[in-house]
Amino acid sequence: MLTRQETYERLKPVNRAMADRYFGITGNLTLSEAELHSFSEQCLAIAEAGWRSFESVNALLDVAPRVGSTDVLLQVCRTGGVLLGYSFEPALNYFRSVAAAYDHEQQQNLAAFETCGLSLHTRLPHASGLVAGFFRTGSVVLGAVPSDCFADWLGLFESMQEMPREALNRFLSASERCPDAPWGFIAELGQRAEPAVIDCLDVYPKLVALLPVAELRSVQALMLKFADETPALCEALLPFLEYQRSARFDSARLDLVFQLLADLRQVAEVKSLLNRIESLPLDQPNAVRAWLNHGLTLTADNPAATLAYLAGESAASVSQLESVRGQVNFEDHKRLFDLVAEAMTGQQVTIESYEAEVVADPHDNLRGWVMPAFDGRTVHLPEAVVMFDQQEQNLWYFKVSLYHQLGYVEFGCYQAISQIAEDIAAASDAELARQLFQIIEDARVDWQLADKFPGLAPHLIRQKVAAVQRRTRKLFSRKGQLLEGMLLHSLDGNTEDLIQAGPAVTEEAARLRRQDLQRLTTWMNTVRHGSVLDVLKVMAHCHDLINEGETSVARMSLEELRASQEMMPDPVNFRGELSVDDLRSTFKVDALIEEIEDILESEPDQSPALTVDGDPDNPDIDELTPGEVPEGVGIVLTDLQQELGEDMSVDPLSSRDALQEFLGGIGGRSQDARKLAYDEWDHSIGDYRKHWCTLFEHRELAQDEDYVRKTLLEHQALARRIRQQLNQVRPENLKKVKGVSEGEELDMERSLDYLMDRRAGLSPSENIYVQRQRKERDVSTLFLLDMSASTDDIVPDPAVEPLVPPEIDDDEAMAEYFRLQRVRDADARRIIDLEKESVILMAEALDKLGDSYSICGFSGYGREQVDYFLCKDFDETFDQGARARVGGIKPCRSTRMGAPIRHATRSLLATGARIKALIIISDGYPQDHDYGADRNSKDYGLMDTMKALSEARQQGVLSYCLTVDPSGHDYLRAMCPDSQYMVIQDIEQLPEELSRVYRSLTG
Amino acid sequence: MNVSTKAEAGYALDKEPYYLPLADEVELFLAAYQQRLPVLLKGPTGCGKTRFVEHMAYKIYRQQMQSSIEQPLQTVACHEDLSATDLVGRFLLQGDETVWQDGPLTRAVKEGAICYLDEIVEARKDSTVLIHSLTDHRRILPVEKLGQILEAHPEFLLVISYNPGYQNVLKDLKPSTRQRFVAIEFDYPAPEEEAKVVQHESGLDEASSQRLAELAVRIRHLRGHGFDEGVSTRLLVYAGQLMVQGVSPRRACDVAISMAVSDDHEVQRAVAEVVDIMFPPEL
Repeated sequence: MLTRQETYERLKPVNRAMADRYFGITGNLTLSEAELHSFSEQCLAIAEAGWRSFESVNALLDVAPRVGSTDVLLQVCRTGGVLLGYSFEPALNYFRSVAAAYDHEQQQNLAAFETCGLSLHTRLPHASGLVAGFFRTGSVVLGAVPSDCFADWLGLFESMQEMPREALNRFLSASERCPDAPWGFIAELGQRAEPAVIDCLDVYPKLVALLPVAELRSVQALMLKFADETPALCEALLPFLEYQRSARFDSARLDLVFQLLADLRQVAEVKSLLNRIESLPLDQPNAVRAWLNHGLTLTADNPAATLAYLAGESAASVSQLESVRGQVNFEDHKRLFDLVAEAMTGQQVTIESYEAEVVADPHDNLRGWVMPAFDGRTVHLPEAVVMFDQQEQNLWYFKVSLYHQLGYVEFGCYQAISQIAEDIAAASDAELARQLFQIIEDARVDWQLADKFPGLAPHLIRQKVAAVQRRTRKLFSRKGQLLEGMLLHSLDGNTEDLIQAGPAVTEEAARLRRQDLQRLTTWMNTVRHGSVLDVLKVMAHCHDLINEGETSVARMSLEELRASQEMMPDPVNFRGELSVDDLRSTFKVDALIEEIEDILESEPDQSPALTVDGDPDNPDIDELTPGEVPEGVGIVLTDLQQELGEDMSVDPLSSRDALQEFLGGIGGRSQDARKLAYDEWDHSIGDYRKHWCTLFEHRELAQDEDYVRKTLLEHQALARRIRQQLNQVRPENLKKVKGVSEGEELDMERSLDYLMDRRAGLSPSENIYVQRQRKERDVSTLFLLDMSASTDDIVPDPAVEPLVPPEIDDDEAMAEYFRLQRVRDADARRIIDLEKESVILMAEALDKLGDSYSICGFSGYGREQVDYFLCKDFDETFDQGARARVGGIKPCRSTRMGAPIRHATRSLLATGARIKALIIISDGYPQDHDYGADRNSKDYGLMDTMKALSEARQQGVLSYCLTVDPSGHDYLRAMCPDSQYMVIQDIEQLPEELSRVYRSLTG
Repeated sequence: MNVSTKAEAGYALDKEPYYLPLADEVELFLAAYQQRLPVLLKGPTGCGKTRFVEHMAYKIYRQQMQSSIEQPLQTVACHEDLSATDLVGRFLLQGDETVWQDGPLTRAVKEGAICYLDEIVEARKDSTVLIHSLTDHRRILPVEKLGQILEAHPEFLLVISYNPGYQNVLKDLKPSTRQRFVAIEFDYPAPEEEAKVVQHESGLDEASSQRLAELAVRIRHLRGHGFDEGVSTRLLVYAGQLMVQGVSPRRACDVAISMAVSDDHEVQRAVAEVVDIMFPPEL
């Protein structure tokens, strides 16, 4: 039997301090001799097991006093003994965990914990680090969670035992990092997908840090739903969680987001939705829910379409969202606003938009206070309005804003702007005067608008009521309260409760203020039917009244002083703020222009009469008598226009524009490329991707002035042939039509037949007259040239023998071969040259014919950069500049066809011609690096091009595709009907084929 | 066989047509008539040119001269296929023979009426050349097909109207034609006067008439957006007449004005917008 003393003596050499503790602690334990023997034996065994194992004994000695029952203590000793093997650590950590279990009163889980650890040890006896880690982590988890939760952790670990060591290690270290994880949930997650456990634990601490506790449950539910794709889910969630924290989402918004996510079917959908969560109106939960449900139903059988919908890329998504939230976009109504403004004021007023939307929430400072403004020439309105739930109401917000701005012109404010500026500047407190003027003038404009336009009145009142409701900020200073009072009065709001006695306001002061306000509003009422000059008078009175009553700063109480520092009343949203200075400068420019215009107009009218010489192609109309016009002779409208073009240059209207540009610097056309957004058709989602492509219409192009001249010189014969061919479609001005029932003359032959029939008792045909009918050509054609890199390919010249490459090992011959090839390549004709030559010859002939046409090229790289080069516009002549631009066309990058075709269609429609033809000359199928998700699939590009062509057809544009790609049949057959494409076998035929196509399209 | 010529018109003028003089046009016309100077009426469509001629014809033939002529005014609405034949006359088949039928111009020249060629620029060039010999000292009308030269009746006067608003190069009046007339220029009346005209012609109440006139001012600001003319007084009268019949102001303006002035949907919307705020909301 080992005694305490004996054991002590044996322990001493191992570690003196430990031995002392042993002696001390065993003295306090009530153990029988046998029990002491067992305990001591274990202690010795452990202590002598190896390096640093005394630490384990120390830990055991820590446990001993905590354990109430000796049996348990001995059991603990035995277990520790079992764990001794290659390292002291498993036992050490085991003992520590037992201590922790007792400290946290988790004894009931101890047995299971031990069993689990022992079985791990038995299974992997060499993995002492793992076992030690298990016990260490266990003790940390023990301390962090309630016992049932710990049991979950234990159960989870047990279920994972079969996994590789590395995974177990990761699990343990992850558990250690977040010991207080919801182990019940993680165990459940583990049941669905084991690997998810570790992925989840990896990000869990971050989630906790980013999310309010209340929302954790929602995230857990989501993770359970997508257990198989936990890493992807986490990747999608984390950026959102960070965003929501920085954007300070309240719980309502977060709840909404998680509700939305809960409805989704795939992690990819979650990602799509979260990526654009900023652009969803989360303050309108019903709208967002309706939008989502609509989309999920709509795209139920097309996952790609769902993703595009959720990401807000498809047209259906954009329009649905706008309609559910009642959004009204400026862009959709721009032309209407422009026209209304012009109708109301009688001058060209441009309506532009700010890049911002107006929302209902007045505290949303970024978006809630976008205000209209007017500088005399341009009215600025917000980009979108979602103040109200109904689209109609939002549209009225736009209109009321617009009418209010136009009211400044209607009721004389704009015209008197110089006087206004002077009066404001003359006031002792100019800022106060400005504010007063704004308030009183706005009141007057709105009152008079309502009087003059009874149809507008109810809508104006509704906006005023809404504006009053939005005014929630309390003001305390005298000036602030009086101005706010006037503002409320201008909105027909109730001012009675505005001024109350309070910390900064005594009863007496409040009474005086109410009295002042009374006087101010009475004065305001006098401008109801007055002019802007009355407003200035009232402004001066009000200014003096407010200024005189102000307490000097020296005599203010602390509260009054603080109140006097507050911001002045917020402006009224739909009225905006009047910029007197801007208006004044515009007004001055306008006055100057008018003056110069008067001078211009007083010059005698020098436009010479139209003179046309005796050219048989251009007969003198004055001298024509009936019947004189020979067959086949026509008058070409554009010739006349050209003649007139020179006179137009002194047109006062155009000089007015020039002046305006020069003086005002406003409305100047930017020299930069025009930027336009176009939708693109995605066949995989069966919908348009909204505003997917950004198209730049370039006017500043590379120029080659000589190219056209050279081409015409080289191809004189061809040019003549094309001209002749096109002459066949030249219109005849007046054509005799025989056999009509009404006409100018009797047709002799038919009259005779008529008489004979009558004599013979037959019923004669009454179509016996001759009529002259007018035939006019009304054609606009757009030639769209493919400028993709592949058009740089050389056109093989049959007249030149191809070079034969020499033997590979003959270096010198090889070098010579490449040199010759380079020389040849430099001179060789390329596909682009053929394209250019063809259109140049066409252009030359069309100029003679007088048809209007445009020449454009396209290229691009990716959807953000579709380049469209406008070489010659419809209304331009084929002059030096246009020639140089066509000559300068060079191969660039890819062939993204959809957007250029849509743009070309749009410009064709704008010409208003009866026959609109679009002729596309390309050298291959449409392709671009992001033309469809799969780079190797040609379908996306083809489908989009097809759609663009069919859109063109629907809008009455005839299209024709010419391609020099021998494999063109394959895809052109899919893209357009047989009669609308042609694959040119012999590329040299292009010019003639082009002219043939032109004739058939427009003839 | 129906052989009536569509360009022909003319009626008795038994009652005085209403006309509200805006300036000195009545006196000018009377003076021109005394000297038999051809008159060119210039002005946008529907501003009252035709009514003015009717008014003057009544004044001259029925009040001053007490003339018994059946049709003191021959009005021809010119269209782009109106040829010289339509004005002068033509042979028609009647039974077994060809019969000559006078055109409205020939009839007026013979009877001594006022011949009013409305929107002369619309007519074909050959028909405008035809009137040259009638409008200078010669006052003759050659009828080529009959091989005759008709001398104008002493009471005959040629009046043409011309609308400079179309801005079409090919449809401008040639100087050689233009310089044969004294030109009286018309424009839409100021809102106050236009309101009076509308009120008189349609029987609408004063306030609504004023609204219509005010509306017209706004809509005319939109000239240049596909309709160079703006809304005519005539259309306002139509709208007024519909309103008198109990059609709501909005609907009346919609059908009589918005739809009529332009085919551009956006312009129609803009006009409807202005109509919308101009009239009180319907209950």
